[in-house]
Amino acid sequence: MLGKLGRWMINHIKALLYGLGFFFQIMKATIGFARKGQVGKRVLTMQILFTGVQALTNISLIAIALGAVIIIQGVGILPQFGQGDLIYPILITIITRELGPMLCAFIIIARSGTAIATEIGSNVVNHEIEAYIATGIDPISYLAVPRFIGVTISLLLLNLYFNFFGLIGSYFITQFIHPIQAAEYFRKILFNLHPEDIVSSIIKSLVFGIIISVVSIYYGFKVEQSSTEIPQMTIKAVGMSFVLCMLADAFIVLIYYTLY
Amino acid sequence: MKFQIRFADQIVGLFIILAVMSVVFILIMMGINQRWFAKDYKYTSSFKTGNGLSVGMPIKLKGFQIGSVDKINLLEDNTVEINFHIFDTYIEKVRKNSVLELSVSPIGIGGSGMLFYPGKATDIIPELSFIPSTDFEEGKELIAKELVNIPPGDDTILNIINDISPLLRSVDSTLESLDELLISANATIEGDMEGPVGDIIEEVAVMVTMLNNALSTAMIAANEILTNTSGITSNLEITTAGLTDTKGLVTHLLDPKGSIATLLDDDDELYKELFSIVAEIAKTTEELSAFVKYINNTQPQISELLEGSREALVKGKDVLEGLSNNPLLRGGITGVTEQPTTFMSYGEEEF
Repeated sequence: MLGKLGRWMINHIKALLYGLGFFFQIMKATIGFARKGQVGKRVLTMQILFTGVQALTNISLIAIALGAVIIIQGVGILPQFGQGDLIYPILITIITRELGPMLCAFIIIARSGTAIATEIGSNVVNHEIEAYIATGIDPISYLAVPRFIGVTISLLLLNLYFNFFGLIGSYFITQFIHPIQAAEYFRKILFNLHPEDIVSSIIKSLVFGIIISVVSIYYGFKVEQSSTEIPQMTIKAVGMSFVLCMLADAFIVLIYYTLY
Repeated sequence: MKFQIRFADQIVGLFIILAVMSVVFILIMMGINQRWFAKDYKYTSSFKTGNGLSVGMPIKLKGFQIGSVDKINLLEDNTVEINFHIFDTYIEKVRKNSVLELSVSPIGIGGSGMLFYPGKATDIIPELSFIPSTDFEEGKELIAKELVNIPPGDDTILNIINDISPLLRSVDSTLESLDELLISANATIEGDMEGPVGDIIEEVAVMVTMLNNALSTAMIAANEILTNTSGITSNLEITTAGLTDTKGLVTHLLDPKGSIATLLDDDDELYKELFSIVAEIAKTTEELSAFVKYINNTQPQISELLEGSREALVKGKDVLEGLSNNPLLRGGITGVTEQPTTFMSYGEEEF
């Protein structure tokens, strides 16, 4: 029993160290990515296209709907307690600081995290990785780094769009149900939106992007021989991405409220 | 999809540029709204307590925000120091002898606010100077010497009084209205008021008078009835007494030597005579009944006989007329339109 527990612990520590080593390997290769040729940049562009541009429709619709719901609920309830102006800090807290980065991360996990893990897993099963190595191409530099940068940048940009649509686009939807004066709304939004909110949102989206891309690539490379391992590793990548994103979110929120 | 892959660089570039532009636009708007690019003039002040004070609290002059509180510190001598800033657009209001007042609502409604009262001097207080508050003697003394320009509307107590006065006026007006309503109600009840209610009350009064007269008449008639009833009752009493008297009329009638007993004591002769009369009447009635029955049965024959007699009479009349109009005598018989009989027996009726 004690031996089993010890072996379990040692295996997990080894896996953690391996994962950290993998992460630093990607970071190291990322630094030199700018000096790589046109092929790597093309892969990066396509990754941003698939992860960022193609997810924009979903993100914008969710942001507008979420913002409209918050405004309608807040405008209906808060004035009853004489706290009508509290709607603006609530909107910023939910859209910008909390749910914006998290919902974007969830959508990217579902769309791109699974795709990356499956694609790299297929490459491993088809011995394409061995072929890259045989021809002198570093699979980390060619496969992992463009996806890492692409997912991280896409999540950052999608988060900005989410904020834009959530704070501004939702206003126009709200006009159909509960009209608010535009000048008053935007003045108060801008008055209550502080740089630390934007910084917190950007940091979260960057961290979530790094987590999703690294975890997906890691589990994609973890496929060894059989194609049946691919869905298993994809599921593990999704689960681990969710858990690590939530933990990272809690950690960042803790730091935010400690500082401000 | 082919379009997106073909123009992937342009699409991704646009995607990135629009995101960056939106962030830059929002940051610029935030900066303008939050006065990032405007010069603020910093000052300090002190208060006895930090109750009602908060970072970011607006400093107002005549309802306009001219600055806000930046920092609050509790000092060694247990006084509270605040650092605040005044917007550059209102720096000319920060003149010598200016005073700050922490306005807290005494009834706990409406929160608190920081009021700025500019001095009456013309010199502008330099940045980072100390501006006294009304919590300490220095500020109170400036107000007492009338060196501070306090707008009438910024006196807290006066504000409360001003707020209460309209309320009292409203209450007074309501009481007056209520008094008038009560007077009207009283006048209406007394019948002095014109209008539907007054008319109804007047009509009710007339009806009551009429009812009173009717009741008086009815009372007189009732009294007469009661008098008659009393007489009848007296008579009944006398009659009852006579009937119950052992020497009265009944006793005499029932006495074996009385008139009735004497009349009836005739060995049933009277009874037998009456019985034979009744028997004769019954016999006559039976015969009459049989006759009526016979008449009813022979009615069709009688009717037929009468009809035949009528026709014979008509024919006889025609013969007589024919004879009288005979050409040899006069000129023949006059034609007569036949008139059918209106009488038909029940047996000839068709159903």
